[in-house]
Amino acid sequence: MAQQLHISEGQDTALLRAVAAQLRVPLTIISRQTELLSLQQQSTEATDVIHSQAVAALTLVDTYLLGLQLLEQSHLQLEPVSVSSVLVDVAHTLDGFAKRYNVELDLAIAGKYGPVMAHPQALYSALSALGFSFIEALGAQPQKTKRLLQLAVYKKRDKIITGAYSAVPLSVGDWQKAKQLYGSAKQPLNNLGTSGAGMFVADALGQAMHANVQVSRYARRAGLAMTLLPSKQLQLI
Amino acid sequence: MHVLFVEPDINLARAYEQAILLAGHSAVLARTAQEALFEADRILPNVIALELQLPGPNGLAFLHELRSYPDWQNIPVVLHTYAMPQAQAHIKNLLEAQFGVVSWLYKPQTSLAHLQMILESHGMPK
Amino acid sequence: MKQLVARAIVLNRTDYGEADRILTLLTPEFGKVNVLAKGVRRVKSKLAGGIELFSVSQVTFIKGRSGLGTLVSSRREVYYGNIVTDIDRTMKGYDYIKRLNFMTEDVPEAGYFELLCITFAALNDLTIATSVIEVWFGMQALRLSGHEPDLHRDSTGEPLKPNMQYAFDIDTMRFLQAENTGTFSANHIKMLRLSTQATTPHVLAKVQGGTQLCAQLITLIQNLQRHSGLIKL
Repeated sequence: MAQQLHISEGQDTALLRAVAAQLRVPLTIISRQTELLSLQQQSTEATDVIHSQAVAALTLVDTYLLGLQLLEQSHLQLEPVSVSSVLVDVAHTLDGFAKRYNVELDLAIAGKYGPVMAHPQALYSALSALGFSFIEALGAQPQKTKRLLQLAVYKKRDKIITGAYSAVPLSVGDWQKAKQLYGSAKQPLNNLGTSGAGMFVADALGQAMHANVQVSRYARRAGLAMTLLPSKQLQLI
Repeated sequence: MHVLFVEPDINLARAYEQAILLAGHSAVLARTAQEALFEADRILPNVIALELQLPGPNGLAFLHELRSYPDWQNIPVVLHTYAMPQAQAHIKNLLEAQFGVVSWLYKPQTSLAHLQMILESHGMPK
Repeated sequence: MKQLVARAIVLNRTDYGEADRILTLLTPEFGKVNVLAKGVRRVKSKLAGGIELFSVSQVTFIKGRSGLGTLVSSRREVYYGNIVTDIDRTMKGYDYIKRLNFMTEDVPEAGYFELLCITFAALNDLTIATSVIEVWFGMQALRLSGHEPDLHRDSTGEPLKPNMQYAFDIDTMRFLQAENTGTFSANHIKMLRLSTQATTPHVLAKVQGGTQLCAQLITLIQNLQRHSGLIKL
């Protein structure tokens, strides 16, 4: 049975939630001010770095806040969602950040699969959070590691799988151990060179959609993915 | 296009103002619901970008007052707020139906470019 | 002409002419009163004035012959300012005003004025959950309008049992025994009884587990009000 992550338990949750909500303010200011510099054609390498980091941090904070809200709902409203559309949006969000780490993004969204039953915002936030974590992890890998992050969706038997895949080594054992250490160790995914906070929050969002994040392999790359159920709605051709 | 920004944070407000000016429009800033009513009276904006979480009376109180005047009935209001739309789903429909809110933008994830595009789509004459 | 003085809550505002407004006021002494407030629209930037939402004011007015009086003066007595600092509570506040306005189409009792005052005071207290206020308001509205459900006997006329689970029959306004499938327990029914008897929602908020019970009762309360014509469909 998949290990459940609990991000909404503990007496510190209310305080953490308030802090996370407040963190959005300076991060939003940083993000907009650096974007303004770009619009005014006054941006530099440094301001571009600041912008992409602010966007990444905002996504993590939002994903956490959204996760808390969704997990508090007794009944999550799922609807038919086009995974490929979500992945395109995610790629757009990750683009600037990926460039800062010299990571190439690849979208693998070709193929015949229909919409899935999901919460659109939760799916977008979970995949974005996974993406940011993997980009950071790729940045921390040895030089010769291929810096490619693949955002993929594909059909497997009667389910649809979507996730982020890369050359970062990640086994089922690594992920299970990390989930056990989560909350007690500073770097539960030590070999990734990142705290992996985004991965855990993505998993919590996945839980809310009954689609826990699990280790998966695609095109000979390891990664983390969610298994979603196809929508039974008729598709418009 | 005249845009009225109802935004309590001066740093953000200035960024929006600069972005809108760069696009060739004009912008006026208000930090509270009271100031926003004063400015709306002064300039008659084409579109209003409104933060719901204001100091003192909130954005809803502002909307209630705004829509109580006939000459302000048709000013499009774009919510540009820290309030997450999915957290306020139960009032989203009410805001659209009762207060003429035309769009809900979640502030942390809305770039200046996207904000400008939405404001132009609702505030420019067709 | 005789000037009348009353405590008042604004239920509605309508523009009249170039600079005036017609205010619909709810008062304990005179019920619902329509008054003309002259010149109030000349200065639009007045969000806070003598007459505003979520406040109780003392008004002086002259009764008109055709049902429209003239407002002479107003002075704010209480302003429930916390309501407008919370979006959820602001929406609830507007909703209660709308519902009171709808409920008091005919000549209202003084009880409706008190109901709205106490509801505002509860909404203004950010420690009281809105679900508790909703249940209290709903049961009080049902009581005032004579549509209270039977909280002592079930649909067969038997006294309600402490260990039984119940469903609710909206047609008879009574609880139905539903041992394995019922949604409502003795605690739910006790909370409903308390909501009818309690003079303020603060009493319900003090009950252990009260907030959760109220959250579970909201759908029933709203259905009861709809069925009784207290909420517009």
